[in-house]
Amino acid sequence: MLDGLLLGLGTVLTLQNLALVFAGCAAGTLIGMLPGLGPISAIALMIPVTYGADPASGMILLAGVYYGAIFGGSTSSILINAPGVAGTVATTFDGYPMARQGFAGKALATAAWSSFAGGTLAAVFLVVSVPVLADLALVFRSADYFALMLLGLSLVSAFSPPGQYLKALLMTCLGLALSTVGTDLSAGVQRFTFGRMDLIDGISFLLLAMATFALAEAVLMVLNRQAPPDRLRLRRRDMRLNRDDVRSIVPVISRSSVLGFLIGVLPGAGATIASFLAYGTERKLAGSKEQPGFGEGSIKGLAAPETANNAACTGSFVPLLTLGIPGSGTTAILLGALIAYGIQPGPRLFIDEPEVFWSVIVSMYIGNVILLALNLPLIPWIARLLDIPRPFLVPAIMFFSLMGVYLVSFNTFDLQMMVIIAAIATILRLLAFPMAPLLLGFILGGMLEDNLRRALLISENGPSFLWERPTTLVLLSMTAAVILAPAIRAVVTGGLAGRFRNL
Amino acid sequence: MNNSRIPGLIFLTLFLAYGYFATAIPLDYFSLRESFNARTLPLIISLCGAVISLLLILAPPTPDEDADGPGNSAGTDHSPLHILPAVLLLLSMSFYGLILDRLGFVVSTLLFLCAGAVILGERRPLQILLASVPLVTGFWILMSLLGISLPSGDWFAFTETAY
Repeated sequence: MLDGLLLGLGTVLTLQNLALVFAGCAAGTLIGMLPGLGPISAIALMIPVTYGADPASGMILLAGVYYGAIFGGSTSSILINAPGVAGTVATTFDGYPMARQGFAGKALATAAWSSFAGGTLAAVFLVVSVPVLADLALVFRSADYFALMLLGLSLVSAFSPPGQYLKALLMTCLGLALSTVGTDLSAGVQRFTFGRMDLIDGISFLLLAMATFALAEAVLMVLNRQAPPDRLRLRRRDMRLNRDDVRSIVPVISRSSVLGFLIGVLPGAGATIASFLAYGTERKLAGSKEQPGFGEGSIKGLAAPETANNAACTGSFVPLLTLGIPGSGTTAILLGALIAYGIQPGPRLFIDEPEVFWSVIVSMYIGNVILLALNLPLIPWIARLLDIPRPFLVPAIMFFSLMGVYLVSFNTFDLQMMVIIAAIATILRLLAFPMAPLLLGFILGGMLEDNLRRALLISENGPSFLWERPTTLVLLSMTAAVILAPAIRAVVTGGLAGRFRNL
Repeated sequence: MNNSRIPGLIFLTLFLAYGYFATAIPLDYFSLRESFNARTLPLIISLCGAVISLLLILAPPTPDEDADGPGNSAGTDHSPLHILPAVLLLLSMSFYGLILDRLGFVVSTLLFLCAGAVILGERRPLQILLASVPLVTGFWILMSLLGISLPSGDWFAFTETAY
């Protein structure tokens, strides 16, 4: 482990890679602050920039963007009550009231310190847990992988709120269906291309991510037009925390970082659930005197979700780096980026590409430090980005999204496809269809098919691979339990009339 | 009819059509005899998708169908939607895709950004140009520095088409 850490330090602590972490954090913060653009859009926008760089440098930049975007999202949540992503919704509960009471500087500083502490503590947990999990994962075979992919897909759907379960499953199927467009590499036949040359290579994941997240978000911003926020003038001295503040948030940070990390490790859970759970836990743990303050500008109520969402972001790297299973929509995009660099994530990553593996982990430490150093002094200036009038901001977001895809393929057919997908995604999002399962299904579809084909070949075309290995059986049982649990719960609690109500 | 039934019906049709086209994937003699071939996964997806769509159609309306989920930040409130500017923006993006190669990066991007600003309510020409020109110029310079060539336009294509 120490050798690995030293290798990671050696890779990250070069002038070029330090500059990339810095650039990633800065770009992520700026993009994440734009209402509607979260870490998924930020990473998708930055991936084309990393093409041509070596995989370690590319991942270092993207990890910086990830943290920066999460922090940037918190900034817009606190300043204008506009959470860029679901993961920072809980931040608005107490962050925005604090800002309205004139403590915007203190709220932003609390968010910065909590994010830093959550991210750093979780990076320590990551270093300890990843090699153990990677060793375990080495015993995995194709059948186990197939079962694991199914579990990953089912967990994303199962963690959806009530009323979205079936929609999430449907979006997963749609993602899987889209992944089959193009040439089937094993047989060399074209599938669902309808004779179009532009579709022979399939749909690019970047195109899908940009269209469903960045472009659809921009269109939604226009559809749900709101009044522009009041202008805020922040001073550096407003951002200091006093001794009482520090004393009250330290235990919150300790608890929320553990909780956030553990939830982040579960594929499908992600920063949203972590931040809500941490907020709820702290509210329950608070005494009767403090409890009414939650939702009215409580510093604890702000520190808890901020710590937990950053810790969960780090935790979601565990299944990505060890098993090649993305734990969230954002890590699904990072998985796509790794594949684009020619790297196969999974247990072999630890052995085959140690510099990528360890440099990502070390860049998390460095990224957190840089994020703090960058954001604390720059917050008053960064906040001015929110002053850009909407008529200029929205077309600029659209332009960057379109160019991000065009610069990879130089094919205007991709732009037309993006517009169509963005229009459909906007309608689906208005109907509360979640987009993260679509992206996950799309990315895991190819791997699922490969592993199923391989497992069938090994078991001589019989279904025996499903129960021959205990690991496969356990994973498939877990998948069945996850898929059926909401249905069983609905039947037990809802009675006949409301049997499907909670699905 | 709840707001899940119509999308459910559309998805059902989509997955049935997907399954139909999956059966039309060309296979050679040997692939046809394999238990897993290029048609297998699409057919499984089609079946699963159709079953889930049916469940969605049969499910009664839920009180929190517009709740936000992980990775979904639509932020659907019940305020009126501004459909016209959104549709015009989508059309302007499509038009941008059509003219990018013909008119070149600089002209087509300037047109797109200016059109976008006008659609979103900006009416001051000077402000529009002051926001658009630096963005286009900066992006073009950055790409030139990175060695990426952006389309310079095929202005004579119009003349050729005319003949």
